[in-house]
Amino acid sequence: MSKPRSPLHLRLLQLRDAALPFVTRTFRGPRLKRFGAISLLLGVLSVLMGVWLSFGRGDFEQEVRRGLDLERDRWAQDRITFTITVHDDFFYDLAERDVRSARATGTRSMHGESGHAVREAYSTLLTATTQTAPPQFASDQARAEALLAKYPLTSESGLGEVELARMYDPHFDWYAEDARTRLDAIVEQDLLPNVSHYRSPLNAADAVRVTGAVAGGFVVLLLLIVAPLASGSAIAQEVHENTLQPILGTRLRPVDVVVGLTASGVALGVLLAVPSLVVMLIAAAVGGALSNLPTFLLLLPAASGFLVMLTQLLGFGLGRRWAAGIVSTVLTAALCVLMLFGVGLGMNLEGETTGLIAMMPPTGLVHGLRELFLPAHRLQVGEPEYAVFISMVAVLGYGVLAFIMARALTRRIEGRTQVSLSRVEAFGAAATALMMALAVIPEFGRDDALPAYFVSLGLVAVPWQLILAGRIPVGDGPSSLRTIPLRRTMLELAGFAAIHLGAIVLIFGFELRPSAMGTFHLLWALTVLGLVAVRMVAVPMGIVSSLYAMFCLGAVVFAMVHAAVFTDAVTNPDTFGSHVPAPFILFEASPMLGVLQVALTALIPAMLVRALRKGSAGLR
Amino acid sequence: MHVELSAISKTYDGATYAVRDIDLTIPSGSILGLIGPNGAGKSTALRMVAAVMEPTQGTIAYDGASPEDTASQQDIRSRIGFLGDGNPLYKDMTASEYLTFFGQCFGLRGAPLASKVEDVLTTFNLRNKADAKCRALSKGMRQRLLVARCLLHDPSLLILDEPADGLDPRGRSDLRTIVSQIRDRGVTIIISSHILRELDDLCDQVAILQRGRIVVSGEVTDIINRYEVSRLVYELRLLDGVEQAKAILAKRRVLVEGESVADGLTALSLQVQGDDAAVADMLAELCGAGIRVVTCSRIRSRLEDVYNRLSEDQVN
Repeated sequence: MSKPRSPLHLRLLQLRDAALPFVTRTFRGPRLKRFGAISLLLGVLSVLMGVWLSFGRGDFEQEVRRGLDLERDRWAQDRITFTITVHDDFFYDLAERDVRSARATGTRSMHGESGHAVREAYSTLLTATTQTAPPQFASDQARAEALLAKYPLTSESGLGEVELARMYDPHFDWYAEDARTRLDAIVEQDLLPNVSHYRSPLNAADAVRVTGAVAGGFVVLLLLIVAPLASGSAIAQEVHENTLQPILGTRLRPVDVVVGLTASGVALGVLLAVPSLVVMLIAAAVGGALSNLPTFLLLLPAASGFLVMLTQLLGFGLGRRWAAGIVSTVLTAALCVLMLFGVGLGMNLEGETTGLIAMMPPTGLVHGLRELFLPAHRLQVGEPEYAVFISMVAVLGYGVLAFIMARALTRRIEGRTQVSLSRVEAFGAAATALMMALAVIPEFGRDDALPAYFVSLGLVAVPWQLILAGRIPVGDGPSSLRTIPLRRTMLELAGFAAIHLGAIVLIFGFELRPSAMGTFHLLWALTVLGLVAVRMVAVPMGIVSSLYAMFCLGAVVFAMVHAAVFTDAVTNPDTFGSHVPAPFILFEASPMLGVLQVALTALIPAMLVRALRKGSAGLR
Repeated sequence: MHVELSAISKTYDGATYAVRDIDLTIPSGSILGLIGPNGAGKSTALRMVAAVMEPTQGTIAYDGASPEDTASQQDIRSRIGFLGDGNPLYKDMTASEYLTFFGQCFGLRGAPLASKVEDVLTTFNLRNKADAKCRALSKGMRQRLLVARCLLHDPSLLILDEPADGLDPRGRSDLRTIVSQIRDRGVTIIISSHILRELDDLCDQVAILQRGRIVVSGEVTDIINRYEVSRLVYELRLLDGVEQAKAILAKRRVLVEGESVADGLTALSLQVQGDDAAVADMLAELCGAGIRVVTCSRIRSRLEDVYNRLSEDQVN
C-alpha cells in the first residue's frame, strides 16, 4: 500500500508533471549533450578568462584590472619607480639598447620613451634642487644637485621640454613620500630609467577572486538573458503558431503550461550555468567575502524569475502579431540593453545610486559580485548595509511581481474574456512597484517629501499603467462587443494614488502642502494616465492612435512637472519670486500657447473617452 | 464514452451567442457528424465538448458525470482526444518527439510512453517517418500525425474538427479508414466538416448546425426518412441510344436533371426515386433495351440532399 501523500508532496508532483514535457522538449534529441558540452565549455572558459585577466600582460588585461581597481595606474607606478614598463618585446629591446648606449657613452641625451622618461627626471631634479628642502631631506637634495652637476642639462638632452614641464609642475613636495621615492630612484639609477617587461601585480589569491567574478558574471548573463529569452521566445512561438490549443486539450491546465514554459527556460539557463556556478562558489569559498554570498544567491533567482515572467508576458503579447524570430530579436535587444545599463550601474554603485538595485535586476547582482570578489572602494561606511537592505527589498519586489505576472499570464492563456489581474493582485502589484520606486529614490530625496513624491510617482507611472491594463477584460471576442469598466478602473487608480500619498506621509510626515493648481494638474495627469492605459488595451490601436497615446503621455509628463512646480511654490516662496504665474504656464510664453494648453487640457481626456465609447459596447 | 449535452450555449460578449441551446446525446461507440457552414459554431461546440472551453450555459455530461471543478476537467480531458481546427505542429520536432511531448502532456511516462508512441506510429503508417522533422512531412502525413497525437492516451472520446481540411482524395480516403478503425475499438467519435461527402456512410448520427443552433440531429437513416429524401442522384454515361434511354427513364419516373457531352459520351444527371434496387432495375431495363451504358455513378449523397433542403447556408 502506498503511503498517503502530503499536500506539499502532491503540489510538487504537479509541478514536476507540468514541467517534464516542456523540459524534455527543450533537451530533446542531441540537445542535452550539446547544451551540456556548451555548459562545460563555459565553465572552463570562465577559469581561463579569470587566469588570463589576472596574469595577462597585454594592455587590455591591464585596463580591465585597472577598471576593477585591482591594479594601480601604470603611469603613476612607473613615475614613482623611474621605470619604463613595456608590453612588447620590440619596444623592450629598443629601450634597453638606448639605456645601455647612454650608460656606455655617459650622455643622457636620449630619444624615444626612455628619452622622455629622462627629461621628466631632469624636471624632477630641477624642481627638487631649486627650492629649499626641509633640513631632514637636505642630503637627498645634495645628491640630486650632484647628479645634475654630473649630467648637466643641455639643449641636446631636452632643455626646452624640461623647462616646459617645469612650468606646469614647478613644485617639489618634500613631504610627499611618492615624490621622495621617485627622486631617490632617479639618483640611485644614475638618471637612467629601469626598463621592465610588464607583469601583472596580481597573485594567485587575486586570480581566484577574478575567476570567481568572471564565472559569476557568466551565471548572471545566463540566468538573466538566456533563461528569460528562452521562455519568452517559446511562448511567442506557441502563440504565433497556435500550438497552445492542443496543449490545452491535454490534461495540463493553463497554470501548468506557464510552469512548464518557465521551467524549460530556467532549466536551460541553469544547465548552462551550473559549471560556472560551481567555479564561482569554489572561488567564493577560497577567496571571496562569503558574508556577501547569501544576498547574491537570494537576488539571483528573484531577478531571473522576474525577467522570465516579464519576457513571457511580452512574448505572449508580441507573439500574436510577430513571428517568434522577430520576438526573440526584440527580447534579446531589450535584455542586452538592460544588462548593459545594469552592469554599468552595478560596477559603479555609489551611495545615492544604491536604490537602483530595486529597479534594474542586473545592477544588484553585479554589485553583489563586486562585493563578493572585488572589495568595494566606493561605498562609504554604512552603505554596504544599505545595499543589502535594498537587495532584500528587490528580492521581495521581484518575487511578488513575478508571481503576479504568472497569474496574469495563466489567465491570458486560458483565453476566456476576463481581466488579467484580480483587484487584490492589482493592488498588490501597485504597492510592490511603489515600494521599489521609493527604494530607488536617491538619498537627496529622503530629506524632502516633494521630490520624493514626484520622482516616485514618475517611476511608478508606467508600472501602474500596465497594472491598470491588466484590469481591463480582454479575450477572443471583438472589443466592440465588450463593455469597458472605466469607472472601476479609474477608482482603482485613485486607490493606487491614495496608497502612494499615504506612503509619503508615513515616511516624511505631513510635509507636502498642496496648491490648488498643483493638485488640479496632478489629478489631470493621473486621469489621462489611466485613460491612456485603458485605451491601449480596451480598443485596438492603429498607428495614429498609438502616436496620439504617446502625445497624451507627453502631456502627462508636462502636467506632472507643472504640478510639481506649483506645489513647490507653496513651501518655497523663491520659486516664482514676486511674480504670480498664470495657472496654465504656457500663457507666460504666449497667449496663443496658453489658449492651446487650456484647449488640450479639456480635449485630451474628452477625446480618449470618446474613442473608448466608440470602440466598445459602452462604458460603465 | 457516452456524452450528453444539455442546453449548451456560448457567448463571448454576453450578447451574441456563438452556440445556443444545443441538446445532443452521443451514445458510446458511435460516430457523430457535426455538419454546418463555416462560422456556424462547430468549432466552439467541439471545444466545449473537449472541455477546453467552458459553456456559458448548460452542462455536458461524460458517462453521466459533469466536471464541475478544475480537477474533474483535467480528468475528463485525459479521456478525450481533441484535434482542433488549424494545423498546429512543431516544425522543428521529429514525429517521434512530437508524440513523446504530447504523451507526457497526457501524463504518460517511460516505457509505456515509448511503447505507445511506437504503436501509434505503426497504426498511422508513420513508422518510417519517426525521425523526420514535421516540416518535412506531407500534408497527409501531418494530418495522420495530428490524429495519432489524439490517440496516444487511449481516449474514450475522439473529437476531430475538420480533420480532412486540405487533404487530397487519397488522404481523405485514408482518414476515413482510420476513423473506421478507431470506431472499431469502441471509441466514441465526434467529427465535424463542412464537406458532406466526408461524412457520408461514416457517421451513425449527424447534427446539422446553423447559426449556432442545431436544426436537425439524429441517426442518419432516421433523418433521411424524416425529411423524405428518398432519392438518389446519379450520373449515367452512354455510348449511344440517348433518346431511347430518356424515354425509358421517363416511364420509370426518373427525373433527368441535366445532359452534357464529354469525351464522346453523353452524360445524363438523374434523380432516382427509391432505393438502390430501383437503380438496379433501371439499369437492367436500359441494358435490356440495347442501350450501351458505360458507367453509372452516384454523384450526390443523401446527407447532402438533406442538408441542401434544410439549410439556408448562412453564417452568423
